[in-house]
This record gives sequence, structure tokens and C-alpha cells, in this order.
Amino acid sequence: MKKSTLNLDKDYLLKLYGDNVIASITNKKGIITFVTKAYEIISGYSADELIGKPHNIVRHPDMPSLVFKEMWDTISSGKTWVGEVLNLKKDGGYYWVNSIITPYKDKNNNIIGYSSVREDITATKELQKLNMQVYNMLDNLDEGFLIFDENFKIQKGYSKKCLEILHQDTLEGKDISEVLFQNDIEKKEIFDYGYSEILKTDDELSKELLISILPTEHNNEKNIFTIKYKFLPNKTSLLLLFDVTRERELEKSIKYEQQMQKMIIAIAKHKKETSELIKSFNSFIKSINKKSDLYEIKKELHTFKGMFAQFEMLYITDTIHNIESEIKKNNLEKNFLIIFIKSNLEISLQEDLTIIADILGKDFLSFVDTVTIERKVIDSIRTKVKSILDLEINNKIIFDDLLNEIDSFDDKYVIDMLKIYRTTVQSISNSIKKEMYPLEIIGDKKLLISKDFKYFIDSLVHIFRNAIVHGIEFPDIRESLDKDRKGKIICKYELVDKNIIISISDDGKGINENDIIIKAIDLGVINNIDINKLSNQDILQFIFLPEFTTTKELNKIAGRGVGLSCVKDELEKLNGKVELINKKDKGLTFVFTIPYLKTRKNISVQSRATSFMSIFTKVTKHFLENDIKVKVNSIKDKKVSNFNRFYSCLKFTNEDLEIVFIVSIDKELINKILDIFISEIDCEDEREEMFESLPNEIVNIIGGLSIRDFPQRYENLNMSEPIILDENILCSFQSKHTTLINEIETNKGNFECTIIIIKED
Amino acid sequence: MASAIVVDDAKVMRVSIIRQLEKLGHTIISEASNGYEAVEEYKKHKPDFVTMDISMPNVNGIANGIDALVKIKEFDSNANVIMVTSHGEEKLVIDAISKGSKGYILKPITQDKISTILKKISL
Repeated sequence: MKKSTLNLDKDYLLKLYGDNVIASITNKKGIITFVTKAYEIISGYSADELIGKPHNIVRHPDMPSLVFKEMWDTISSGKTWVGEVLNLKKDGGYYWVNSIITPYKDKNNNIIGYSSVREDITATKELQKLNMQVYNMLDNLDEGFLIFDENFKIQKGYSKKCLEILHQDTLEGKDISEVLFQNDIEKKEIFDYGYSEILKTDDELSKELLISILPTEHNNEKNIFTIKYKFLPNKTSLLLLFDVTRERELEKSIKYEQQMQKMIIAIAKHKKETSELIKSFNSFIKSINKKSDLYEIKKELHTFKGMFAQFEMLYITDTIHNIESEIKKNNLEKNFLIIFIKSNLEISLQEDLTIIADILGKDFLSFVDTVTIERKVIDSIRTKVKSILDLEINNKIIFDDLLNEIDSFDDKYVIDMLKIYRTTVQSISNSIKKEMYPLEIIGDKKLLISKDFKYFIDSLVHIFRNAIVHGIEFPDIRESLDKDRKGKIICKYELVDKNIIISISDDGKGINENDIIIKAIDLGVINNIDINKLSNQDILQFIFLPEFTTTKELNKIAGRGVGLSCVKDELEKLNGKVELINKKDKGLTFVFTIPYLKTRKNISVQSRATSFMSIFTKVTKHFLENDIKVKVNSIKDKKVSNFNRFYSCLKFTNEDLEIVFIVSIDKELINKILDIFISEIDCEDEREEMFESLPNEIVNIIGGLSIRDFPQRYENLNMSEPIILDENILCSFQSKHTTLINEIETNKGNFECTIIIIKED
Repeated sequence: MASAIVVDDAKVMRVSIIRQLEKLGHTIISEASNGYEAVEEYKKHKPDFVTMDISMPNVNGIANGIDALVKIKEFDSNANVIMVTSHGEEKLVIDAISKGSKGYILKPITQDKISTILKKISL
């Protein structure tokens, strides 16, 4: 009974073996002597077709011959070979097998053939191939993909891009928030807190809300990337990272270009101050080893930072800023600190100076003004002083006269102020490969002007720069126009009545008025209808508008509109006017007419205040026109704030600076704003009540919008809550500190912005 | 359309939100200027939803909008409370959502923002 069962089982097992095991036997030379049914099925050949043929009948051309050599070496030496083999089907298809080939031996241990069994691994291979393709695809996408689990652990299987973006060698098993936000504790906390709450909830809405709070962009100091979050099953999440470093850098370089322009303007305006600052900074660096008090060094450094910032010198300001944060963070030891400071500062200062030399000429900062006092001036003062001693001391007329005389100590020869531009013209034309005759300056060599003209004269660098960069053609073009290869600029000055007239002419191509019109319409300065009402002169004057330029490409030297608007600002401070004479292909002439009088102002604090004020005014104007839909008629300077209106204020502060910002609004305009904020109020009591808090909301809105436009180094300015300060306190602030007031007149009443600089950096 | 309570310590903001909700067709059944009042008013009226300023003065131990949210949720676990918030308050918002707030609106408030969030919670 047992035996017959065994026999039956043996047959059954043999059939089972033949049907399911892909096996074959060959003789010593590799000629097939036996195949199973399973082998016939997978290869597509019948046993008759196979037996008697060499085994390489199923060899696939993609299989490297080295594998077969290695196989034969192994089995012919009597060992078993195991390996994955790609085989060819009869119909041209293929299949993958994992083969085990064993030598078949006789009693004397001589190899007489080989038997082999195989496992069909085609499906696994296909899956592997698919996987490879997917990874290949993911690795070649610009987006990085990674998956992390509920313990924030990054899973196996992420795209290569992630390593690059996150600057890691490997990611598997690492903590996702650590890897993403290692340099930003605030963001890491938001992510950790937010994500752990996401994992706790099953509510889809809460998940969605929490996701929307998580950080979506980060700068890890190597790359800047955006982050997208997607949920997967089993509490895992998919992160998509996208590298935006280039985009952000491009944005930054545009900002940097603008910043550089500002530096050039600031330095051109304050040439003497800047050269003195650099001189004293250099001697600070030289003597830094000898200073013993670390606190003193830090204090001095900080003062220098403020002064460099005032001249918009970007590299050195940033470097000092970084040094300061480094000192705060690491509590450096003095000797180390000194080395650190010295090595960093000298390089950064040099970077700034190189830019200045490139644009303004290398002698620009070494030129220091000298004051010439003539004998007869001193004589006349001596007489006046004598007369004061003789007469009553507070005889005001003589006293004022005296002051004027003393001021004229600082008077300068016009020729001395202008001659610096000879170098400027030469260095600019060299740097852009244009050929120029030396600048010709024509005028009375004895003519003196007040040193208040200095800032205006310094701003003229933009006129010269524009003339060379945009006006004068390249030598070959000039030749083709029958012009001298070399361009020429002539600067004339003379005293006519009580005005000094300065003209600057070039013999370049002039300005294309159509370009100005197109640009003006584009900028929204003017519309198609108004254009017909304007004279040619009106159109030409547009080039003095801020940010106005007719050249399209950016270039380091090109004076954009910002340069000319600076000329205009300085001109207006002197109550001067400008007229343009434009001749196509003949050139452009600027004629400045300026009263030959004196005005005095504290320029540096004033200009700081002005730059803040211009941001507040711009934001307020935008708010009134776009949100409140009133028409702004004019914006005027004022001397005293009007607190008989609805007003509110807030403060912007950091460790160096304290600014009070006040808005004061006419009742009519408040009503209008209220109508926009809250449509249809019927109850008059309700209205009155809300008047109280509305200025707070408005000062908050304007302040909040303005802070975004502040220069980068004021990013850390803290904006306070709206505060109600007593009118008397505000008035006393105004009398003590630099104050600027702009009155914005609209068709629905006035809106007044005041800033008071309580503490200056 | 739904009934609502508007909570904000600044009257202007309150009225502004009320007007916008009214334009969307909702009925404002009450308003409150601090968290304490908000809880009291909620218990009285049981509105369909509440807009809650996240930072408000402490009244009777209810320190801010989140405290009020928690009290309201204790009373009615299905309450729809939408937080009104500004930049820099991310952690407070996460806190509020994990404590059951159904959404948040970033100031300045616009009709679009309100209607988007209300649609999400099917109101």
C-alpha cells in the first residue's frame, strides 16, 4: 500500500518537476540533451527543436560574453555557477532567469555534462527596470522629492536633487526638520509644532489649514528653495523641493544694482566727507592692534557702520554688520577678534572703493577741496568786526552781514569744482571704449560760488555719465555719420544778472523724444490724450523723473533715471531750473539757471529723513488713490503738524534708530475712508465712535506697508502698536528733532504724514 | 445663510467684518470686544460660526482669542470658530487649529478671504 502510493507520488512529482521547473541538461560541450516541459514553454522551442543544439540557441545578444566566459570557467573546473541570465525566446522575445548550473560527473569524477535549473525572474527584473526608470526620471527632474514618516525620519528612495538642495551626502533616516531648517530655529519650531499637530488630526480641513502655515521657502545658506507638502497613506508625507537660488539671486542682483547707484549718488554728493571717513577708517584699522578695550573697538566699529551706511556703501556696511553679529554669537577672544576684523574689513572696503573708482574715476576720492581766502575778504571782515565792537553788539544787520562774509570763506572757484570732471570723462569713456576729447570748461576763472553748490555740482556726474554712455556714439558709428571719431563735451558757466548759468553740451546723438513718450506712457506718468498738450520741452523734462531711462539694457555705468532725478533734487534745493536743448544727431545740452544766493541745511540727517518720508508718502498716496479712491491733487512740505485733526502715531525702533511716524487726517477724508472700510453706516453715533480708532488702523496699515520698502539694513526695525501721544509731547519732539511733514491734498480733504527722527544711527 | 458672532477688540475691524459678512448674506446676531464676552454671547445665541481675533485684551482670565476658542469648544464641540490673525502669529494659529479652530483669515480681511474659508466649512 505504502509502496504504490510512493510510486504514484514519484510519477506525480516528476510531472510536477517537468511542468514547473525550468531545467535542462547538456553534454560536456554544451549540446542540449534534455529539457523539461517548463523549459519548452518559457523558451518557445519544442524539445525536438532544442535537443542536439548548442545551449547558446537561447543566448540573448544583450548578454555580455564575459558572463558566459566566467560561467564556463566555473563549471568546467567542477564548481557550481549561479547567476542572472537574459535569454532569447524563439519568437524574438526575452526572459530573465536565475540559473544554477552544476557539473554532471561520472563515477571517476569526470565531468560528462551539466545540469541546470532556473527560476523565472522576468517579472522582478521588469519591476526593477521600472523602478530604475522612475528614479532616473525623478533624479533628472528639477524638483527634489523625498518621503518622511511620522517620526520625521526620511525614507529610503529620494531623488538626487534633494541631496544637492539640502547640501547633504545622504538623507535616509535623518530628521526632516533638522535637515530642512538647521539654521533657522523659528522655522524649525513652526514646522515641528505644525507637523506634529497635522499627524494628530484626521480632519482633512485642519490638515489643510495647518499645511498652509508651514514654511514654504527657505534659505539654508547654500541654496534657496521652495517647499511643497503632500500627504501619503500610512502617515508618511511627500516633500517637493524646488531650487530657486538663481531666481532669488537675480532679484538680489537687481536690488544690488539699485543699491550701487545709491552709493554712487551718495558719494558723489558727499565727496569730501567720504574721503575723510575712509581716511579715518583706515587709521582705525591700522591702530586696532594697539587698542586694549574691546568695548571701545566695538563702539567705534558700530559708529563707522552708521557712517558708511549713510553713504550707502554696501560691502563695508554688510561686513561690519556680519562682524557684529559674529561677535554677539560667539563671544570671540580679543586677539582673534582683531585678526578677524582686520582681514574682513580691508577687503570689503576695497570692494566698495573699486566700484567707486570704476565709475567716478580713481582720483575721485583723493581729491580734497581746499578753501581759498583772499586778502580783501579778510580785510572786509576785520572792518566789520571792528564796527561791531564800536556799535551795539546785537545790531542785527551788521551781524547777518558778518555771517555772510564768514560763510564766504567757504566759497570756491567754479572752475575748481568742475575740473574734477575732466578725469571722470576720461575714465568713463575709457571703460566703455568710446573716444573723447578732454572736457572743455569755459568760464571766468575768478568766479566764486557758495559751497552749497557743491552737492549740485557733485550730482552733475550723472549728466556727464549719461552724455558719454547714452549720448556719444561709438567711434565707428560716428565716422559713418561724418562726425569726428572723438566725442566732445563742453561745460560753460557764467554769471547773468543774479543767476549763475551752467550749460553742459555733448555732440552725441541727442535724445529720441518718441522713446521718452513711449516710456512715459508705459510708466503711467501720462496718457495718450495728454501727450498732445505737452511741449517738446515738457517731454524732455520727463527724463528727470525717478526711475526714468530710455536705454533698455542694464550696465554698471549707465545712469538710469535715478541719477538725473538726483540732479533735479539738488537743483531744486538751490531753487534752480533746467532747460534742455535737443538736436537729433547733433547732441544734447543741459542749461541750468540757479540764483546766485546761499541756502543752508543740515544735509545728512535731512537726507535720511527724506528717504524715509518719500517711502511713507508713496505708500500713503497709493493707499489713498487705490484703496480709498480719492484724487491726490498735490503733495507739499510743511513746517508744523496740524493736530486739530484725527491723528495717530507709531514708532519704528531698533538699537540705533528711533522714528515717530504720525498721520493726521481731515474729518472729511476720515469719513471717506470709513465709508470704504465700512459701507453704509446709518447711525451717526456709531460713526463718531469709530473715528477714534480709525486713525490707529490707518497708521498701522501705512506703517506696515512702508516697512517692506525700507532699505535692507532697516529690516530689523520694530514697528510699535499705534500709540496715542499727547499733542504737547509731539510738538516738543518736533522742536527738538529733525522733522519732516508732507501734506497730501486730496479732493476729499488732507492727509498729513509727519516723521520725527528721535535718535539717529 | 448662516448666523455669526464677530469678536474683535477694535470696533472698526468688527464693523468691517460685519459689513463684509452681511454682503455675503449672513446674519450677525451679536458681537463682542473680548474673549470673555465672546464666550458669554456664544452660549446665549449658539451661532453657526464665530470670527475671533487672535490677540485681544485679557478679561476675566480669558487671555486671548485662543482661550475663548477653548471655552466655546468645551461648551459646543461642533462650534465653527474662525481665527482672525496677522503675520508673525504662526504658532498661535497652529495652536488654535489644534484646539479645534476651523480656519483662519490673515489680515487685512477681504470678502474673498472670508467667503473662501466659509465655503471650506460649508457655510
